[in-house]
Amino acid sequence: MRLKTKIILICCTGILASSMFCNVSIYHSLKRSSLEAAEGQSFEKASAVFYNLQKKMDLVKDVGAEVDKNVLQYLVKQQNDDLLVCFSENGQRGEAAEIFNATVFGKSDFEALDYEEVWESSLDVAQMDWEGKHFLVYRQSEYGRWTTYKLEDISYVWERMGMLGVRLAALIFAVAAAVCLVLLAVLNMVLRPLQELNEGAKQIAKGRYGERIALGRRDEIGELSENFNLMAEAVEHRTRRMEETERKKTLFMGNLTHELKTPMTAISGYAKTLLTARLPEEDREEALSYIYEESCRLERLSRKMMNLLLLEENDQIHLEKVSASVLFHHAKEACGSSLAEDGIILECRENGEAFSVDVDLFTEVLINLIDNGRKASRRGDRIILSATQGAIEVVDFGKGIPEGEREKILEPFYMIDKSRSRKSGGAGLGLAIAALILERHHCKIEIESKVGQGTRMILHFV
Amino acid sequence: MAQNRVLIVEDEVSIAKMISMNLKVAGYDTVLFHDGREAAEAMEREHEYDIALLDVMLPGMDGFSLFDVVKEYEIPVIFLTAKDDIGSKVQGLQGGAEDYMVKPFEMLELMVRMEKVLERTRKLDDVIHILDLEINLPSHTVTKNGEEISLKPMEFELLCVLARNKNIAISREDLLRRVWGVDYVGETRTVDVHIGQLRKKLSLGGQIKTVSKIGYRLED
Repeated sequence: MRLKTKIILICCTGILASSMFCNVSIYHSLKRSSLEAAEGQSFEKASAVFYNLQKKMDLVKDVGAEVDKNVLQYLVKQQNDDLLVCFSENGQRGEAAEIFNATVFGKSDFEALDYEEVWESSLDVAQMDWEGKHFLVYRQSEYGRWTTYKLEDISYVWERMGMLGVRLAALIFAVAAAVCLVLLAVLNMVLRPLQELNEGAKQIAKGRYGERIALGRRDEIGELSENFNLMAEAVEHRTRRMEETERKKTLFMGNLTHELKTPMTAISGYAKTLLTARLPEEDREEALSYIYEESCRLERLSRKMMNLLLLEENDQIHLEKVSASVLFHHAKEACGSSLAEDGIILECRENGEAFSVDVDLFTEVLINLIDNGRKASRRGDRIILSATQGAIEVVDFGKGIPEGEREKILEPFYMIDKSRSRKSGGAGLGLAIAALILERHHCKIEIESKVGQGTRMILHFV
Repeated sequence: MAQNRVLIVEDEVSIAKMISMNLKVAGYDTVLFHDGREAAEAMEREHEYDIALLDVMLPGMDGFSLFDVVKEYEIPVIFLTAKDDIGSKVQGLQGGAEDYMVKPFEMLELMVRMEKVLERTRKLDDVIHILDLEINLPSHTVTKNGEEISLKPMEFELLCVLARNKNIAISREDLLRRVWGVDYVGETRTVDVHIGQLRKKLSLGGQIKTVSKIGYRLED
């Protein structure tokens, strides 16, 4: 069941029950008090009637006459009151004719009633119901052998109470209906933000991670929506990152496949050629050397891939304080032969600076950067390796990197000039590896370059 | 026999060399370029080619642009490329290329396709001279030192295939497919039997070599 329906149902039941209880108790007390009032009124009326009768009888007595049956009948009749009845006390059965005022009631009807004495008076009173009407019967039995009854109609009390009951019931239902309507409006107002939250959640569940909820409220629901937005943001962020990683992985795999395809094609092609074609001796040797070169390229590629994978797996690095001279020495040793081959001079400049690095990994970075510079340089060019406070620079005076490609060169397999890079033995992984190692060192790489003038790579230690 | 001249433009030096090696032993003359622009510039001076093999992704000038240059000299073109998407295939073929090969390809397949193109453009000689043999294709006759030798139709076809791809070993399966056709349901034994006949009739015992695990090769 919906929350709204539940709340309305519970509230309505509560209101109905409590107002019913109140109204019933009010009704009963009202009924009692109005009955009492009616009793008092009717008692006064009855007393007056009896008093009048008494006075007249006293007048009769004063004259010296005897109040006999006829006189009494006359007196009663004179009262001109349908509800005043007189019965002969010792009237035998069948002498019911001795009713001195005609009513539909017989003597037995009156005698069957349960009388009680009215306080501080000579009258007795009893209740009588007849054909939906309610009477009070007052009895006086003072006149010798006659008993006089006075009926007082108090039906109006019941009539009024009945009307009151109907009104109260109507009131209860009206109030309940009004309360329901008000409650519905209030609930709608209160629940609308929840509905909006719900809609937002649905949108996000459908994959629209950019969805946000703007409620602009300061209450609990506002807080909930704020937290909800935070959650959505976290989900969006994570999803974007995962998608990005996935995209990069796909790109990486595509590039890797491409990088593998070319040497594999060459190797299998030359092998097949050697097997099938009758080649002259120099062609045989050339074919073999191509197979050897391409397999070396594959081997290099796989070694670099391993490095990259290992780096990605182990995020632990062993940091120690190392002086720039030691780092530069390691790098120079590793690059020396290839630099000498290409006729490039490496200059190292440092003033005893020290850096907190992992020696092996950082040497690898320097080697990759120097190697990169070497490939861009011409014979006789210089490469400068220098240390300053908090930074290391590798500067070459080679071809430079075009404007749009500066960010891309750190991506795996990115090569500015594919055919030239391959000739110089590159797989496009060196800078990607360097970037990953630098990331582990929380070290930022800045690239300044001018086409035709050279490149300056600055490693900032944070 | 006049050699067919082939223009090869392919940026991967190793692949270009490999194609050239194979074509040379089979009797083609090859010219290599590794840069699109260089090839286009050289075309102005020298454009006596019977067929051109062009890579699509080239430095300097891409294969499709180079194709426009090559077309002017009415040189049939086969594209060689790693780009195997439909778009570039359609572009290449609609532009008037004769054929399209996706790398990595089989050398033998390339040669068959080249042969077909040359046949269509009537640049293939009707008469093949190899060793002391003269194979006349229209008349289906073979003469050895001027003396005609009668061959059964299948033996003749087999000799043609071997001669066209001289110095290159062809597997029994490939021979079966090319001589007897793809529909032929037969055993590779059939090939061996016919090779035996050729060796005997033309006394080519030493020239038709059995290359172990590969197939047969006619050497000149």
